[in-house]
Amino acid sequence: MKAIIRILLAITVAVVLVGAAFLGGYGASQALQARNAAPALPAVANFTGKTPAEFQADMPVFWEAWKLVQENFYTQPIDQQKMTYGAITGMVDALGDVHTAFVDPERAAYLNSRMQGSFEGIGATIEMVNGRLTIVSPIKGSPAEQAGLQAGDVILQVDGKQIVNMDVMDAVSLIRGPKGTTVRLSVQRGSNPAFDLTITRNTIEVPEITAKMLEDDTIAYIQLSEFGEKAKPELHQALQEALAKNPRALIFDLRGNPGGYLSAAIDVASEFLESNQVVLVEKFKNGDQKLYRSNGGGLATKIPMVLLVDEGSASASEIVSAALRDYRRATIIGQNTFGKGSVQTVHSLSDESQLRVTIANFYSPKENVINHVGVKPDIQVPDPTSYERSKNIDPQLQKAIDLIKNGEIKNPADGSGMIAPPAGATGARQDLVNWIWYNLAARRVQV
Amino acid sequence: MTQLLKGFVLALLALFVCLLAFSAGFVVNQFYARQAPQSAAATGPAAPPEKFNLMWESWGLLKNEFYYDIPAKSVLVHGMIRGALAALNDPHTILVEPAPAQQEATSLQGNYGGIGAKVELRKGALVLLPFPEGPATAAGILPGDVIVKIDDQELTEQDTPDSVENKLRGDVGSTVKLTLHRIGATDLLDFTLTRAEINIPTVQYRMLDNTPFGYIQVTLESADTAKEFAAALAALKKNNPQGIVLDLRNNPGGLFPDPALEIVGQFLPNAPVVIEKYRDGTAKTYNARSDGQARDLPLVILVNGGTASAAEIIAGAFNDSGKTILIGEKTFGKGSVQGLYTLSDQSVLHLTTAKWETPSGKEIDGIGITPKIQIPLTPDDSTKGLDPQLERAVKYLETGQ
Repeated sequence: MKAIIRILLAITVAVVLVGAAFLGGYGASQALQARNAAPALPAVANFTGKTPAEFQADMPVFWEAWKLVQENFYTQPIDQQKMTYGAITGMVDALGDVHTAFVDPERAAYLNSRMQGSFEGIGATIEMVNGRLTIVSPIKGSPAEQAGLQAGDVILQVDGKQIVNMDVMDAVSLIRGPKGTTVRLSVQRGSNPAFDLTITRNTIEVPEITAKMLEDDTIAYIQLSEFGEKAKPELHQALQEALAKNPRALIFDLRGNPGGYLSAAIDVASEFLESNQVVLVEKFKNGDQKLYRSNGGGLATKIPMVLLVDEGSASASEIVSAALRDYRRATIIGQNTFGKGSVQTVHSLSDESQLRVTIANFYSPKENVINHVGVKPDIQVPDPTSYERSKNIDPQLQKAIDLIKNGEIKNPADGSGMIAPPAGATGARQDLVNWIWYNLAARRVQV
Repeated sequence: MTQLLKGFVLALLALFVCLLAFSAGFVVNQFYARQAPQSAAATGPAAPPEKFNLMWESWGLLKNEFYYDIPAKSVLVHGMIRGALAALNDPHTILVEPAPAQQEATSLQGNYGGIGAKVELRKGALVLLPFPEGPATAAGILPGDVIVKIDDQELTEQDTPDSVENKLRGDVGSTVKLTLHRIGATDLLDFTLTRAEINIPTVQYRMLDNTPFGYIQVTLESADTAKEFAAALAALKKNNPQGIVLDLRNNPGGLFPDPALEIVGQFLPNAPVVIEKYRDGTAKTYNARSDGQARDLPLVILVNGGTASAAEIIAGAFNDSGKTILIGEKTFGKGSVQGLYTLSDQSVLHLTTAKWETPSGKEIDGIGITPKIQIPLTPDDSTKGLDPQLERAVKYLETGQ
């Protein structure tokens, strides 16, 4: 609710500013145009936004470039919407913060569905490899798997449309679609001639939790892949089921987890911490601080625990890791984490595109820096080598199992408890949306 | 005194030739350089799209919330222009900010040398096209190697062929470390090159040993190339050659159109050389000059992936004539023409305004020209001093097939 008010407020301020700039900018532009007797311009239709006052001194340069492109660029037609999106992306990129980003409606829809953990499509993880859309793996039980799609297959066409060298998000939009509809794929397998597969789309559920029991049910293992909407209910259920078997210890795996919602980070940490503990400290540009505390009702506040992390554990994963470290709640094994300690607000713009703005940095309960530093494990164990990976050997997990079997995991340590909150901090909890920003084109996506 | 003067003149000359060799690629652009119409500075938007107010919506949010310091407005406006241009998906349409005056000054002081390579954009990557001779070729750099780092500094999105060529320049004798990605190689390759004075004539020629054939290599199209080429032909003709091998391999182009029109005209007087197509559908055909010194001589042309731009135009004109065969590997595929527009803050917009097609209407840009007889030159051949492409050309002249 508060987030909405914030957005509304921001939009109001923007509108007022734009309005104020309107008269000055319009007048100046008109005067200049008249003086230079410019050649006839195309009608300025549909232009509702005017240059804000603070941009006016520099904006003519932009309009010069814009106009030169419209009048002289070789390849026609020119997609003005794409150019506008590009200009916003360019402005945002010029800020120099990789996590502050403009997201066009297509990508925004994808990111939203990803955080929801379900979408309508064929159920396959894909990746662009040298411009060729390649199946990484079909999702178990999905229409893609039932239709016989295999890892390594290359999709050449979707409903007759060539997708070689296509932007991966455009390909996602083509393959996804409402449940019950069909999509025809032209598939190349190895060096065989391409063949067609027609697949009926369905709702694809992407679980965020993988849980299993190890060592004759004596150790519970739970892996969280992302801090999306399903993280809290799935973790709660997985813990209930695991703890019912009375394991001697819990291994919680956050390796490769890029983060997600801030609220989900607090919910996840709350399962392992006593009630009302500080989970993170958010610090704003103006010096304000905000504390976020655990919810209470955690299922796994007592069981000895190992946390696995690596360089792919980022953002929300680091909030949880840093809190568990500060309270000595878990023994942390693996590699130093990514080091992404900033918070983004996600604004939905008027055409369903998104603006993600870095608004704060976060710190651990003891106010340790996370941004660019990450969380250092208690016990460093290197990532599996490619040989070990191919043999399904996981030295980090093995180290955790060995320590548990030797009785060396004794946390929570005696004396763990409340850490005095920093002076001047407020305790309000705000349900902001935050997510690590990666270049999606370079990553695996699901269709 | 005269000695001193002579030295000075020589130094100047060397500097001039150096500059020429390095900037020849740029010259082709300059040829089309135009000032932005003065009115552009003052006019408002040309029909901005409906969604343009998203820009100010975004700006309002950023201004209120962004955690870090916001840079100067001019930086944001340059970012906006870059972003808008990126949406056009044309690697040659770019914004170049004026180089800081200080940097310009240092590059003009003293002996300045280079690695003997031109930098081109290919699929968004900055790649090297080494000259046939020079430190880059000597070290084993191949045409198309992608530049990842220079002196351990990664290239950024702001880098352009010009800015990278600037970085590669330096004092003669100084070293520069290049980290390159070679297509097909898993690891990055490091090269440490010693900069040398790049002072190569653009045309070299000789009679091929034990054959009745002449060999002419054109390494670059500069202002003197046409003259040098005519002189080379005249000299070879004294040996009464039965055919000519024209070597355009690793020729990155340069000045257009005069050298290309002159060279083609020696063999195919008045023949069409290239068609420049504009976006409104109009086109201009460039025809060869009429010298025709070698109109009766059989000709074979060698090309490879380092043959680009003006050199591809020459190859394309001969290829389309049907009288000359191309041997070697597919050419680079740089066939677009950029207009240069100076904006009111002195930044320069490079805008693709035309495309080149071969006389039969085949587009060059992004495609290149595929020789009729394809023969690779492997790194192994190079180290052994073998040249199967040249051998094949000789065989073709001998047998007619």
